Amino acid sequence: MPLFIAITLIAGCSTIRTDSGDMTHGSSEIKLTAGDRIKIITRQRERFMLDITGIQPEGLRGESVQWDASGVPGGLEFFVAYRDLALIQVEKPSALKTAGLVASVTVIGAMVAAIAVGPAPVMMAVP
Amino acid sequence: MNRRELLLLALLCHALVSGCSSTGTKSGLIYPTFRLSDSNIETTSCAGVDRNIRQIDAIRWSLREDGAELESDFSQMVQLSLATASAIAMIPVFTLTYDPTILILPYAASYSDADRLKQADALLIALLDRRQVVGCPPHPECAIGTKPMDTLDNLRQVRQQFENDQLKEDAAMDRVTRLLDGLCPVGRRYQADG
Repeated sequence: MPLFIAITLIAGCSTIRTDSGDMTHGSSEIKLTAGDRIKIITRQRERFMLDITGIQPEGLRGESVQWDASGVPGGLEFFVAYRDLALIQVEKPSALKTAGLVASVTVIGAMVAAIAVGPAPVMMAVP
Repeated sequence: MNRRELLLLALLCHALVSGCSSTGTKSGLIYPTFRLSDSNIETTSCAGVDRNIRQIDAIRWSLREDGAELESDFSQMVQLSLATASAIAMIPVFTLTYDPTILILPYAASYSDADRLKQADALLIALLDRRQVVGCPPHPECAIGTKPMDTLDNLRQVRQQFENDQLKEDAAMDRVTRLLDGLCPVGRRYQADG
């Protein structure tokens, strides 16, 4: 059980999801938020790793992260149009999402432990 | 030999065998598999075909950047044999854990980027065929419908030479790969803001 929770936590904190259009298996709708770190391939044969700084109607705004496979230096601001995206992978959800996940797993873990161990002994105050 | 030693030995064997068929990529990207559905392609408009070509070309380009190469039937047979050897090596672990996924994992891992590249190539060729059947206008950015350098015509030539035994399998695969590598050269480069 502890191993399962540890794996769930690790997987939850570094989930990689893929969105790559309608002629591939495993495509899924992904919800991105500012703070997410993503890897993308554009239709112009480019690769980027970005920390999303803004979600806009026409595309994503993000700060580049040093990634050997990309060749783009880190710390630059990019705007990538949705229509140019060929593949997106979420490398790391934002810290807020991870904190929420950790909190919910902790609460669930505490509930499971409480059910398994039974009620805690109550100390009666002696007058 | 006790259970712990047996487990350790089995894991070592698995690591040794699976190390020969690693699926990790240089970029750390996990690539999707491609869906080749005739009905899907047959109902796709010129705009849709071109959109899909650009998308699959981009993912295929990334696969190639990560070192993916087409594999002959013989190479694929070797991969399958390695996966089987790996699964056999995991039998002692299975007897300890009774987890069937341990035996399936090596086969899942043997689905390589070479397979994805093969699928991407097949899908691109099917889409190029579709373009010609429908009579789509020349692609503004890719080498499609722009004779005499049309990629589809060159691909057909390779296939014919292979079928007539004028070209060996490795040479035919190499020429197909090169032709598709040059299908849609790099277009607009994204520039940093400011």
